[in-house]
Amino acid sequence: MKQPIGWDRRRFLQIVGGAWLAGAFASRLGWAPSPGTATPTPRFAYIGGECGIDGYSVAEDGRFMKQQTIPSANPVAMAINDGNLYVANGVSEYGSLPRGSVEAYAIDAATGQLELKNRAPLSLSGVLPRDLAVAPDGRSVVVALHGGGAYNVLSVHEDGRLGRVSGILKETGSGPHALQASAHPAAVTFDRVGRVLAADLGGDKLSVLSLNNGVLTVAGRREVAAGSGPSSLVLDPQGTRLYVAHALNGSLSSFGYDAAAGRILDCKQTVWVPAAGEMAALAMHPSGEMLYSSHGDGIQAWKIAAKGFLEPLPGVEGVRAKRLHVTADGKSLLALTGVAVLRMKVDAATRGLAAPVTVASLSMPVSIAMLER
Amino acid sequence: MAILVTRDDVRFANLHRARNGRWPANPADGISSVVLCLSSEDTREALQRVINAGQRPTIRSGGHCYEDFYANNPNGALIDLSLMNHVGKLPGSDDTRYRVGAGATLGKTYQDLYKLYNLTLPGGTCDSVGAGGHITGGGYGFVSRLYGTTADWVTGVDILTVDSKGEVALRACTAKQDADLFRACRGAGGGNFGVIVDYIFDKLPPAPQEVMVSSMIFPWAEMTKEKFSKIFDAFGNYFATRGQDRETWGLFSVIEANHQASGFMRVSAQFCNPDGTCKDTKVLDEFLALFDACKPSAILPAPPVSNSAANSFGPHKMTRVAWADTGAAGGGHRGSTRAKYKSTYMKNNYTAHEINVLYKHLTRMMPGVDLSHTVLEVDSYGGAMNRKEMLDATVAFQRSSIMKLQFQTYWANADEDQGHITWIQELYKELYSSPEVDAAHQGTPYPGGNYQGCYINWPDLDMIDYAYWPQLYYGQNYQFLQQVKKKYDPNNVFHHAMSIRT
Repeated sequence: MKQPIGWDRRRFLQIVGGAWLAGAFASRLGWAPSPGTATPTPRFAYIGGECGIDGYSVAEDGRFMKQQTIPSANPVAMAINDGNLYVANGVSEYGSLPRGSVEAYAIDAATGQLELKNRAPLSLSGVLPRDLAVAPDGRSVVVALHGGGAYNVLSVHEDGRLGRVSGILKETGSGPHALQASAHPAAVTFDRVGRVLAADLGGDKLSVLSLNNGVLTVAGRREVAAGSGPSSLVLDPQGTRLYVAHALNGSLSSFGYDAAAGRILDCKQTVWVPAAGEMAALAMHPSGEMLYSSHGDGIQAWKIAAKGFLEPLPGVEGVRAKRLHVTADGKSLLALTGVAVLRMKVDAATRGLAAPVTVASLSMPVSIAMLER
Repeated sequence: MAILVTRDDVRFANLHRARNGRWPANPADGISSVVLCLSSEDTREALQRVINAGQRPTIRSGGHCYEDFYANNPNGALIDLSLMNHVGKLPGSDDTRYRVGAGATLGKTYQDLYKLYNLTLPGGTCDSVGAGGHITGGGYGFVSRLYGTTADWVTGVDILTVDSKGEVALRACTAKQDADLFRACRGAGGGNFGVIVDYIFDKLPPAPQEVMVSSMIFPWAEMTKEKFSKIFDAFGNYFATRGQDRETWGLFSVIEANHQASGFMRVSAQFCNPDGTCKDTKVLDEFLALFDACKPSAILPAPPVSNSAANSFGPHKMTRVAWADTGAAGGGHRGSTRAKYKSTYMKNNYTAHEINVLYKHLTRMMPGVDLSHTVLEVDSYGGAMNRKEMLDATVAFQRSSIMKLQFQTYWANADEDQGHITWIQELYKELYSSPEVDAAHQGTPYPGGNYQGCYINWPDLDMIDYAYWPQLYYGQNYQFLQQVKKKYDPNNVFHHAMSIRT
């Protein structure tokens, strides 16, 4: 792994100044929606929080209008596929057994209302899931079991209902940090061909997992800095660069990704960011030209320069974001804090962030998914 | 080199099955391979391969687990220790200690220890049970009132654990080396911390020279509620009073309270004096005389006609049995019977409520449910098992009980599951729903004035519906066990539905 290129915390703060400077940020970035294609417009947003899942309709101007609250046990992660919302329940017991669960909801296309299709248990010991992702073919959901130290695969039926756990990959591993006594899979995402990229916070490793016939196997590993605690990851739209947020040492790192071989290449860059606590969030702008991150102390904006290098841009100070989400139209960055969902407009020309406004207030929001045209 | 039996091996169809035919409850929950290990090193290598492959290992020695602890392991690997059945001192070594391989059955262990050294294990009551799970769960049997539990005698445990990095290592645990893990292995039950490959004993009790056995039959045709009460009261009162005297500790007795549909109840006894002889049978005579008023018979009544479906093929009654399950092959009819069990430690004689409830359910007829293979076994307890000095040396906290109850019901086919499970659940719940059970623990034998919870070697998944289930099985030792679990199995590699949770 390459050494960091010099963006330590102090240097970062000196450059960025810790202020949002949307209007002052002048350099233009080239992304625009492809000619002839409709710009996606958010319609419905789903926020998982302490009281369940809140459903909102989203106005053209970005306002959230609450439509529904449905009970759901600690909905820590969400994903939408083919008109269905899949939710990971971050619980340590389901049906009296030590395991979490995943829910499938039908989304009413007209109203956005959710209706529970089914709730499927995770594997024994599959407690406290942290993240989930839907396979490109829509027939599987992969879940990262932070508490259980494993990954699960659940099949998805034709009607969108969840099937049984078809594959379990048990992890071992640990690190020097106090929170790394054991493996803690924290994030999963799919590449373009259906492999799973996974981050293990406890074991300081990234993995490429093959998914065949509902069974996960390890296709490759990439160790990261000891004690860094990789906890979030995102692939760029081309599927060739992987960005990882490390919760435990306040860093971001980027890797090349060989999509054909399913191999994570050597670390290209590591940067340090302001951090508070052990959290990290990442979101990629749909243009692939911007990355947003938060380690609990403000939101950082990064221009993705040539060869995938991250260049800091002005961010937003004072926001303790647990999760970030960029709308599919690229116009808004949403940040989940302890009590609210904040919206920051993304300047179409500069990609700079406007001042945050609160679009929803709720207790302890932790997950978000949006159904957009 | 361990033997890997995968799905494409003809042996897999037999070897992957659990003894209790209910498990796995769904074929998708089943294992994908059985690894037959021949040595500790075999087991270490096999376990490391399983870990490296990201599979979950479960462990089987005798395979008697009542619940699905080793059988429910979707696409996982079953580490089978049944071929590691050595018993005795290490050959060619100066080591004078006795070793019992985890795969040794109790029957083989008794025979080998007797023939080689004139010694015995305190025990078990079923000779096909494997040492691996039996001893770590406590292990008691026919001479346990005289000698204590088997776990009380263990002085060393060789166990494979998996460290935080996933590396497998063999630990030789004793009271001085990894003492916390050693203590935990004396009572916590199987599948919690690692793969136990050997139990080690510095010394073992002498095998009794002889025993007296006796059996009293009480046909249901002649049973009344009054007689039923007398039998239970005589038994319970004896072990609450006279049975505490040291000279009686060689007496082990069982009430085999079969359901009325079976036709009879039975009280059996095995006895020897503390010196291992039967020169004086005063204690046994005294005990048997307690039942004279109930007019026992020595002859079994004709068995009732069972309405359970037999495996019949064509015009003649035939039963299809895997070769490995036949008597000729020393088999155990793996998976041929379905069963459900529950357990209770009792500190006092029966209350009137308990006897009423037992009588009600043992005479309860449920349409369409054949209860002719249903029994409550009441085992005598106490004696050397209640030595308080073993409380800190082991995690078996039940050291004040006088009886141990095992509720059992057996049947053949999946479509009979619900009836049998309903019967046993309703009996158990009503039995422990009374003013004598505090309001917070109704329906369970929560440790307190009358009860000492349940036996982990007779696990009952129904109990996990109660948030306090760990206290039922481990009393106040659960926090200690959680610490041991975190320390020696930080990644929770070894787990099942009732394993130690952290």
